[in-house]
Amino acid sequence: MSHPGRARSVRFMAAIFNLNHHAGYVHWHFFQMSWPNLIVIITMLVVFALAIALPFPRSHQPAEEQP
Amino acid sequence: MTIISPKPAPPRRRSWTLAVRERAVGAWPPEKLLADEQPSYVSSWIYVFGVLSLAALLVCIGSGLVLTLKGPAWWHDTGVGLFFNSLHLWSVELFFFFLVIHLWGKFWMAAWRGGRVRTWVTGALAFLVSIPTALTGYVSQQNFDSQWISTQAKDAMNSAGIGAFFNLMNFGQMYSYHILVLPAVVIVLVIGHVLLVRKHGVVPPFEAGKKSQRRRPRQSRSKPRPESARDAPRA
Repeated sequence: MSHPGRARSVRFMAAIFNLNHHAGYVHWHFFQMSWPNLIVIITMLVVFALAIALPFPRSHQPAEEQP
Repeated sequence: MTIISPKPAPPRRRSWTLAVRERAVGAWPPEKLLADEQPSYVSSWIYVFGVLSLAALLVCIGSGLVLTLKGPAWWHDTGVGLFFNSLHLWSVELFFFFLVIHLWGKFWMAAWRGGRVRTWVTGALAFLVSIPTALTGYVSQQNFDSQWISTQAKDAMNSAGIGAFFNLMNFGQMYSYHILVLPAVVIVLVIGHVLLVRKHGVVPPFEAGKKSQRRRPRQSRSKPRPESARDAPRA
């Protein structure tokens, strides 16, 4: 028995991502890869670049005075 | 007058437990094993992916233990079972996601510098062993997806000549590999990797590494070179 709220959220997600079919493929010359794999790899590259570029939050402790 | 010297304390008996303890405490003193401070260059997002991989691995092991205890009927047919099934899958996805970014970061930092070769090798091996661990998990799902993957992947194993020993169509063998043999290897490698990181410290960026080398000249056991030979290039 499914919960009405769950059924609503499943329908909502299905409206955004319809996964009830085979994955599409990117095919360019020798390069062939499914869209899900390509999206994950591109996301990893973006996260890698952001990890290098974005500043790391510093702690708010006052720096010790040098003698 | 005769002087009687006090009786010297008897020499401590050597034993393997003592030797192991001394070596372990020497390599990992408590302040190094559970450090409360890190160098300033660790304040970068690129340094967090190692611990994120560890967190994903812990969730993966925890959810895997629950799945092992409950069995395929539970993880396919009940709501909680499906939740743990998904938790196990997505923790693996995140584990590889974070691990590969960690690997990229360490590769471009040349993280094997400064006597950290074993740290690099254990990390690389953990990554390589994680791949068959995941594959054996995909073929242990007990559904059409696992049947499809096993029938496709068996050809790769047969072409590599290991199909007779690593048979993807043999569920019992794959399940044993997945829940015991391969996770044990991954866990041992990861523990060794973390201990080596604790022992040698996090690899510094290139500039920081050069500066620290300039501040602390390498101590050589050989005799110091004469003043005139210091500027000459070594043969």
